[in-house]
Amino acid sequence: MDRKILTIDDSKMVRMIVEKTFAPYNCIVTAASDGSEGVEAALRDKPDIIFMDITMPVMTGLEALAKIRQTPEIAATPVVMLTAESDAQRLGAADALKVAGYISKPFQGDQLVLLTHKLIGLTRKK
Amino acid sequence: MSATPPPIHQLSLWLVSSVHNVFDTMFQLSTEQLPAEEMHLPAGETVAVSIGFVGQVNVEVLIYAPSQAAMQLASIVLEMPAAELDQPTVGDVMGELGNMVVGAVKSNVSDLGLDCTMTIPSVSFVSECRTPLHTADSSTTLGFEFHGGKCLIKLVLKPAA
Ligand SMILES: [Mg+2]
Repeated sequence: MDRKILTIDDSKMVRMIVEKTFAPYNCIVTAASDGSEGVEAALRDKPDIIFMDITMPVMTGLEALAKIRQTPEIAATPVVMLTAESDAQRLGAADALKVAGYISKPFQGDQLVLLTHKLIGLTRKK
Repeated sequence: MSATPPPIHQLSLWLVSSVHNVFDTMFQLSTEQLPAEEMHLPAGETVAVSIGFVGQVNVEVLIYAPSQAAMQLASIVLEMPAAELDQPTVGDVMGELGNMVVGAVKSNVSDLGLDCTMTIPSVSFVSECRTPLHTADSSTTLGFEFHGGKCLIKLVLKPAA
């Protein structure tokens, strides 16, 4: 069965890299460009995993993560932070909101695939 | 209590190492740092990115790259022919490049116990690069060369708001 992956990032470049990275796998990638749109997309699409940026307009990634954790239908979704900020304070804030992983930008597609496979399992398209 | 920001020299060391890391990881390009005074960006359309962080330390970073070089970077990272890239997409790539470069500097500053928040990159296309290339207590300009292009990065340490 196709895995559903949601990328939430204000950069089109990052959303495109996530889409390309998972193209060889049995996945459906959807995208949102800020935290608020991201929470809506999560409620609508019920993704198996979310890649979340921190610095975004309208609603930051940490605010969106808090909202997801408070929303029963999506509260248990694994969320991986994909962000240029890797200081102890941000890591701690994300940890407190039960992140499933943390990938620092700059990043390579392989890192996303490895972590996704570990968390939810991935299969290659035939 | 007012916090003491790291000196401009330390900020610029973090910035240089971050530039090398971002170009290497995202674009598979090695970068060479050159004295900014000796580096002249080619005349013509230039992408200008402004990005930074605010809080107990306030930093603005301005990145200037010729549009041609920016298009080449976008083409590498998005695996798309340059001819298929529109201006907003190229601008987005340069804005996110700035976010990654400055994010590492911000993380180092935060790890000193100084609370700051990243700003959203603002990107514009200007007819040419006009930035004064001086180094002072509060600002410095760095030049970088990579395969097929050059960029200038100005780091400005601003007084606390
Ligand atoms: Mg962002």
